Amino acid sequence: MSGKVMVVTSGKGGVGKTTAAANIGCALAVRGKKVALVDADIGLRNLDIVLGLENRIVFDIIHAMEGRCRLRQALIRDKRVQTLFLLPAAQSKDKDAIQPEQMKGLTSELADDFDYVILDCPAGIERGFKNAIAGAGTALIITTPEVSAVRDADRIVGLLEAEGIEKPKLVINRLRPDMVKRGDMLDIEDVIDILAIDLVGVVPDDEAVITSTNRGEPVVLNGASRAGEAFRRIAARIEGEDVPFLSMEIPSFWVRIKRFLGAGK
Amino acid sequence: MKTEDVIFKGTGHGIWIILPYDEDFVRLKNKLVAKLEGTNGFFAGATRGILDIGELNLEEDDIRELVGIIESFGISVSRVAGGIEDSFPAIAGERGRKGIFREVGGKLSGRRGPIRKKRQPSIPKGEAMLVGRTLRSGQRITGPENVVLLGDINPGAEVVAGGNIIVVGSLRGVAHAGVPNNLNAVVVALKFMPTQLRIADLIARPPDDEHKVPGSPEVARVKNGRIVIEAYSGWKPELEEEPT
Repeated sequence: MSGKVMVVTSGKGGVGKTTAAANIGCALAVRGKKVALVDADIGLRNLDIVLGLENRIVFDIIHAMEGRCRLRQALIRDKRVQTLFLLPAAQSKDKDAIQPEQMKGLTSELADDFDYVILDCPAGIERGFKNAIAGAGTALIITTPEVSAVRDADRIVGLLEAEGIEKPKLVINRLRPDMVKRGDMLDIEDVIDILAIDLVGVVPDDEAVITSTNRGEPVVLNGASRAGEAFRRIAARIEGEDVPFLSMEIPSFWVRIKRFLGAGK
Repeated sequence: MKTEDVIFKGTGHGIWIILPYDEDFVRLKNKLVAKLEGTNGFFAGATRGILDIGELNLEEDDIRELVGIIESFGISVSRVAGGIEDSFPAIAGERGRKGIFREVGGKLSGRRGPIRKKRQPSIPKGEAMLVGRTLRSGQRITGPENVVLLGDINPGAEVVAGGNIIVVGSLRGVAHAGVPNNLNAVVVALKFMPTQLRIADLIARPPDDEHKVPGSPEVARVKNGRIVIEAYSGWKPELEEEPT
């Protein structure tokens, strides 16, 4: 078996790479795929916290690369989804601790055992980025509907092309339909117009993402969250299914009242 | 561990003389003699020499001969460690000292370390490293013996100690006491909420659904092969006896 190696990247920080990696990985695992999430953000690891697996870390990616443990020992099985595994980053090292070549070897070893190997890339375009994309076959670009994030995403698309990673897929994160409606935010068309790559999902801004991150429970496991639903649909599209995009219409006043009362979910 | 040369390691428990894996006994003897000559009598007068024969399969007479060589350089051998056979007759013990025992590798590291000891019913004392700051995420300190930290250990930070760890502050990160195999080591903290706790080769983590904030100091130690956390008040440390 040779799985897909996919890097989740954005250029800009804080647009939701880690959240997207965790949720898309989790959604794919819920669908029965064997998924390895690799935290490539060495020195600033977060993926373990988002997944609520921080207290299970004994060995990390650096230990595995240095041969201080076997790769299997460093992989942490998720506590909820049996086919989801995390390879945590080291916290007390930095990006220079690994070489792109080592990353290539590691991802290809993982790809033998997993359907999907998803790499959570650090922000920036330096060493950490180069490490993270070294072994990737495909890329998922995360952006928010802001000019600065789209500009950085465009730069990333160019850098990926130069590295031979063609046709990355786009996720627009944290869209606020009310602001788009007022003309205060870039809309989906504007973003696609600039980046000219395939859109694989639009995730609405959702407070549930913040609470789920703090609790260490991916939002895709929350059936009521619209962001969770958007991530589940992204996973379906990655699997090649043709699913409609989540409606970005603002729910009506009465629906919101019902939701507030905990009924209309 | 397979090495080319004889290795000398000074530890709190004595001088370890670790032999390389060499099936030719004569060559092995020559290596040992050469190494001992190279020390220029530096270790002469040492009373706690420990001969580690590693994975060598040696006859009793051979071991006795090696011990004789070491002792001729003024180091008295109190113990012989390692070996393939499960039971050796006491060789060093013939001279009224401790007998030979077999040492077992740890689960966590899988390495053979020179300070493996059998369990003793006391907490080792010795040196303590005093750290007067808060450890933040990504910071890591290691001390060969005890570590006393006047500050907090934040999540993502790690303290590793050969002996005990005392945190005068909040323990939120990872504490690893008794490295590599001292099961008597303890971890004490004013506020005990570690991400993960390790003593020797045992690992424990708090339950996923528990988010309590402790009100009083607590102590973690090994009891019946498991790490247990208890209130610090009412706990009596059983310290090693004062050397006489």
